[in-house]
Amino acid sequence: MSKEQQLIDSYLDGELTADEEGRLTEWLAAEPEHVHQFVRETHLHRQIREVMLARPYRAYGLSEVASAERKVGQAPMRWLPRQLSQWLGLPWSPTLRWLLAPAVCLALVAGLSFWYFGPTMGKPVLVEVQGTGLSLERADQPLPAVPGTRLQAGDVLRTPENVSAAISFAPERTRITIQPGTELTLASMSRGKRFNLSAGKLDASVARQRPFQPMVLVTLQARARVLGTKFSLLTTSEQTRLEVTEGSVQLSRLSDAVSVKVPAGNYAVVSSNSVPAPLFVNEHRRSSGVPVDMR
Amino acid sequence: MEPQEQFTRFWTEAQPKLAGYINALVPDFAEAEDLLQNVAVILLRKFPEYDAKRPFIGWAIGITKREVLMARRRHARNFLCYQTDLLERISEAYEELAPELEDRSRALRECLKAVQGRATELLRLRYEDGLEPTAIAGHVGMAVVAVRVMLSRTRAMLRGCIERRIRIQNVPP
Repeated sequence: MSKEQQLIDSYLDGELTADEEGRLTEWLAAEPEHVHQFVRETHLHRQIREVMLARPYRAYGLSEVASAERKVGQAPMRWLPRQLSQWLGLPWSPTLRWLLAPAVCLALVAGLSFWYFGPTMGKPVLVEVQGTGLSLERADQPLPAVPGTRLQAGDVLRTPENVSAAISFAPERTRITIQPGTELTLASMSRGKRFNLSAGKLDASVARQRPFQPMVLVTLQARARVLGTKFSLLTTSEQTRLEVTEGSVQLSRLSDAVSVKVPAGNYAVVSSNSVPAPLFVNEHRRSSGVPVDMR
Repeated sequence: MEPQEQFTRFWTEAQPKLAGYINALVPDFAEAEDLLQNVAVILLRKFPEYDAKRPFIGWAIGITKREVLMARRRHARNFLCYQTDLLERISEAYEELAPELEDRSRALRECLKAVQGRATELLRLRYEDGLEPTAIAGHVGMAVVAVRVMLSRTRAMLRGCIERRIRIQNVPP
């Protein structure tokens, strides 16, 4: 591989030093063909990203199509108008059939626009640190954890006793407060926010997330899937407890993927112990205003 | 055709090239995607000013360039944003190479199917999760240098595959 190719690779991987920047600039300025090569490389870089991001959705789409086809035998397109007419209670005239196609197209365009112009997702920034001793680890290296630090996927935050911290995603109105004695890993930020809560407690206020990109928090026993709500999540080596104050959160047990939707004013507990089957998730209703002991 | 519908058609075709163009100037995926989203909104808002006699991609790149320049304080790390003449040449090259880039995208989709094993995992972490080589090394328990080499080799393999496919495609029957 040529040195210039290595420079372009380093640039695209965000690892170019100041000296290398200078060399890359000189090389680009030397020949118009060099700019063309640079453009082809950046396009390749972007396109790999696009294809890799599309793969899970394509797999999901194909499985949905396969399941729909199984459901209606060999003629899904004949089944759809008939089923729609039944649902809508309409006499399915030829005119209505002709109207269906543009209506579906319009809905598709509206859906795509909604998807594309949906809410802007912010980047995680450490905004508040109460007390001293907060630890931030990036690629096994300790970093200074001060307010204003921009967090990345793979970062691990540990709050000792008497220390709490908050992560903001401004301009998005999402905020996570990490309580004392907590270990939280920012697992991924690229397709929805993903966190691993190894120990301790956090309180979160989550703004509406992009479609199909929920916030997901994983503990030793459970997975909480959030689209927009307020909740608290506490985990120990034995159990995970979720309390929801606004909206609702889907909580699943990791061992068997059995899940429960926890609405506002409720809490649920997922335990790793082998409890009797019907009690795999204990959901307790409580009257509003009664505090829940999260310890 | 309604303007909204017309815009959707143009945008669908131009989006991959604009995304590539922004990524050329702002390599961080998340930052580039935020910028792309802003550009989409601005293009939609300015679409009534678009002169249909000109290629859409040229008009869109012009607006995107202005947006990148306006946002360059935020992207101060990306030195290319400060090389105005270079920025101009990159914009021109994107416009010039637009048809070729489309062929390259199609070829890439096929070429990616040939990537297997650990290379797939590294590509997934780099491009799907957006991790940089240092973070990937921590995830997979490899040395950072080894991650860089493997990523570079995989990209070189993809580049070679794309070139071969394009050559075959261009051979007259």
